[in-house]
Amino acid sequence: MDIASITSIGRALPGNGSVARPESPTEGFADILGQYLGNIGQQQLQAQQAVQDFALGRTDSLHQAVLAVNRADLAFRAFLEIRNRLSDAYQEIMKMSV
Amino acid sequence: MRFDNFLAVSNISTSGLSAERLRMEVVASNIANAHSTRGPDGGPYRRQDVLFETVLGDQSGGLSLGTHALQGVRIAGVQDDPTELPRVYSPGHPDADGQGYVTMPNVSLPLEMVNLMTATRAYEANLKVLQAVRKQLEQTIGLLR
Amino acid sequence: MIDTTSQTAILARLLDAASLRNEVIAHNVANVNTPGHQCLTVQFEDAFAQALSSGDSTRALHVTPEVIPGGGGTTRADGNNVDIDMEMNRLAKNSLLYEFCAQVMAVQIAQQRSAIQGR
Repeated sequence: MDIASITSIGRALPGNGSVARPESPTEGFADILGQYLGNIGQQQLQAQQAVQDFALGRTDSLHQAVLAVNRADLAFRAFLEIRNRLSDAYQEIMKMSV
Repeated sequence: MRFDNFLAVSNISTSGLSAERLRMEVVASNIANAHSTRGPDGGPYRRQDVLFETVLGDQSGGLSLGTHALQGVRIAGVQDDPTELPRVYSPGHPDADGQGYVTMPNVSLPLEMVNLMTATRAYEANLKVLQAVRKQLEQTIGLLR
Repeated sequence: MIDTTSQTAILARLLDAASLRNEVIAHNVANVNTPGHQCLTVQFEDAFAQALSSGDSTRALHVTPEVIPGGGGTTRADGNNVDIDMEMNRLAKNSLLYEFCAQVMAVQIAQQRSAIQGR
């Protein structure tokens, strides 16, 4: 019996048996995270500036500074939560037996 | 200096406190000298008045009217009351003139008492403003907890 | 991300200045009836703000608060120029500033602590 190579079957398939490499499934998500981090960084900068503006007498509005600090803090804590969930998910996956 | 200029509202109320305090000092002086026939310049004491004036600053303030920033009040000056000094018949008095009349200070105690009450109420009102503002700001800081 | 250490250091320096100012105010108030006493004040924020606006926070952290004569009202007959209302005003403003800086620092430290804890 002539055991022919399997590649001949592949030639019959659409695309000649070659499959395009799928895009790395984490690439899109990394972008989102990166954007998020950038946003947090921006808010932290704004909060710093607002705090200094009030403390050094450039403005009298205390509430602007307080609100800016709160916004930055909330964004940061939301991100921390995301990080923690990601970390949990990773550990879950690692526990799986293959 | 930055620290002294910041929180302008605080400075405005404080200027009110200082002005009313000075007014009370002048009232106290008038009352104390209501019968002084030997005043600072030798003659009888003349009652004094304070002159209140709005402080106008440059445009850097938050509260502005036209081209100036409103920065509270100050006492522009303390001046003598020019009304005529009353003459009282009191022949036994050491400072009586030839006809037995003494020129007394033009201090009217009821008027001084009214001024004192006005100044006190104004002082309290300014204090209330300061306390209200401080409470608001502390509540705002409380948002950070 | 943000250099939180320098931000915390900036706030710490502001707290230093506020503490010094409290002492100076207490000194002035205690001496409100001392003949000839000149009112004292703390000089800090102007130089600090200027150094910060140049963008370099390390240069700004070299600025130290100093006590200088000044900040008094009209001089009275006994040569004393401490105005009690002005000192009370400074005290209130200073307490507020201190509380604000301390609270912001608390928020930052809590953030850092949460970030370290991790899972």
